[in-house]
Amino acid sequence: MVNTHGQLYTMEGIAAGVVMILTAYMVLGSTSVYTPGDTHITDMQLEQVGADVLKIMDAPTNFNATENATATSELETFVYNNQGPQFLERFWRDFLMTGNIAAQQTTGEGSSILASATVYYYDRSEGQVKSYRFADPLIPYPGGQPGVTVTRFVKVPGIGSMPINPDPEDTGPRIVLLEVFIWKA
Amino acid sequence: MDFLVGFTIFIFSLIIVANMVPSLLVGLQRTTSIDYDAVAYRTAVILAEDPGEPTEPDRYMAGDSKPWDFYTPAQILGGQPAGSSVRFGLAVSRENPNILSQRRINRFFDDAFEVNNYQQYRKSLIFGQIAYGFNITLTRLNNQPVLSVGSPYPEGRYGYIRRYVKIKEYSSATITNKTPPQTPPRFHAVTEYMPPNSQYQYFRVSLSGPQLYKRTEGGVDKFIYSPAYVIDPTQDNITVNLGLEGFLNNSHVNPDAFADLDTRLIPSDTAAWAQNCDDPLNEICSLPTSNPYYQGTPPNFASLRSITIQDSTGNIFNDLIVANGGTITVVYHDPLTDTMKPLANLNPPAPQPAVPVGKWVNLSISSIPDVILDQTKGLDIVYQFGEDPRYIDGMAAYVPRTLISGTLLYDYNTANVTQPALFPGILEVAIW
Repeated sequence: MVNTHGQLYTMEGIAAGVVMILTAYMVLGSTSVYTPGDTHITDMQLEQVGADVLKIMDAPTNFNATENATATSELETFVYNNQGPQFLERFWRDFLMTGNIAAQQTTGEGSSILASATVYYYDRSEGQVKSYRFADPLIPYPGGQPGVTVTRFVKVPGIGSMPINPDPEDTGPRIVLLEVFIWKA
Repeated sequence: MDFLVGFTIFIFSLIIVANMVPSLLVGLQRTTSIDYDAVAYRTAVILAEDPGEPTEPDRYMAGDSKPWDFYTPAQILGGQPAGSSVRFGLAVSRENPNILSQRRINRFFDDAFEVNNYQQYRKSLIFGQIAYGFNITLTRLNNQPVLSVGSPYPEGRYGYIRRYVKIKEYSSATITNKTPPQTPPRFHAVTEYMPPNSQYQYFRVSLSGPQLYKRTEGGVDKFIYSPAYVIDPTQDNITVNLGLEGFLNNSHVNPDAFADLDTRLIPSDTAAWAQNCDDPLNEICSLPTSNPYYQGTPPNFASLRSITIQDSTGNIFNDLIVANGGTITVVYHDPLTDTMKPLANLNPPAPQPAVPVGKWVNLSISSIPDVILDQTKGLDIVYQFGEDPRYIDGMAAYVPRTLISGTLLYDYNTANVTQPALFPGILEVAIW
């Protein structure tokens, strides 16, 4: 197989070269990873839809000319009165409307989307940001695909029915953060 | 020989390793895996979050630059506005994303843009070198028709995005008299002289720029109404529904009014009275049986002479509004046939006969040019009612049919005007 100087004869040399090249090719080829792009795009759609629904729920239907301010949006009403289940019902129903839309769609959204909501607020007496559970999912379903979070700052005129310990000096209008976590079952 | 073999092997391996460097060989135009979702998302953002181009630089001020939806589709297809290219966008303003303007929606979904396989949409909305297929659908969640443009969804792969939006509806005013005037006396006496301006009855609707667009607080002018809620006749339609039933002079159809006819008393309308006869065979009593008032009370009506849009000095702007691409549409209730008919000539030159109007006059104006209505100017919509006089012994006498007068302020008072409201909708964009 080798001559007196240790060099490979030609045929064996070619075979050895081919083996080395094939090895190198397989090693380099095995490092490529296939990333399914569809899951990512669907999540973006979900996040965009969630952000849109929060945005339009926060746009009041009418302008209140007598008070020279926009009327109360339904999002503000839900948060101020601590109506978590009603909020989620409305939020979720706006998703559910997708099943009734005339346009053809293949994303299969609708009843398989679940959501839960949390409200974050600043407690001035303790100097901390705290949170409370605003709404649990309408169907208690633990599993699902990785979800997305959409948030919106909501201005409320006071404490209302929110489960916040009222600091006697801090009962005026405030901003809280409403966070909705959405996932597909 | 060994050298040749070795060199050949080296060259082969170099070529194979070079093949593994992807950037050398990737095509500059990937036609097999375009990210259609990204194009759909971009298109949806341009539609839902942007007011389009050109847009008005100075809000509520007369200016040369008009928003793109000021132009009709025929003008946009013809290259207007000159010197700038159009980009479609449906939002009311840059500061109000996801809140859409009704006029922009109507312009965007107009059938006129179908020409050349929707070329205008590719040029002004989707952009790019590839001739994408698309479908854009707007579903309004208050039982209005679904608006759609583009081709039907394909069988294969397509990119898709859904946006939730709110659509700003038009305002309107409905005027009725809930407490009709009491039954007037049975007859009207002839008066010797009626001042000329009492021959006609005027009703005005006031569109006042300063009231609609701003308020002065402490000497400072402020825009107090967000574009999502403002009543802006230069962008949105103004609708006035005038219900006349409560404003009509009932003596015209009160049969008792003629019980004591005296030569000095004017019969209100002998023709109408003659129609109210017991004997259908009497020639002057013959009404067609299709008339709903056959053998019944003849219909009462007002005499509408003109509807004009004027400023405080009396300049009439009907023609100017139409010449600038706006429309003034009037339908009225015809009392004799009991149907709604369009009114073509709103300001006929004298002496045109007045149009008999029964229960409703519905007026709708779109796209008032901002040269006549901005934050410093105001307009009045003037309805003129009145009859030609009857002469008795050389004296002119009038018995008014309409008892309406006054001015309605078209502003943010919810008692008078139905405010522009936001209704939710769903915008879907698909690209393939």
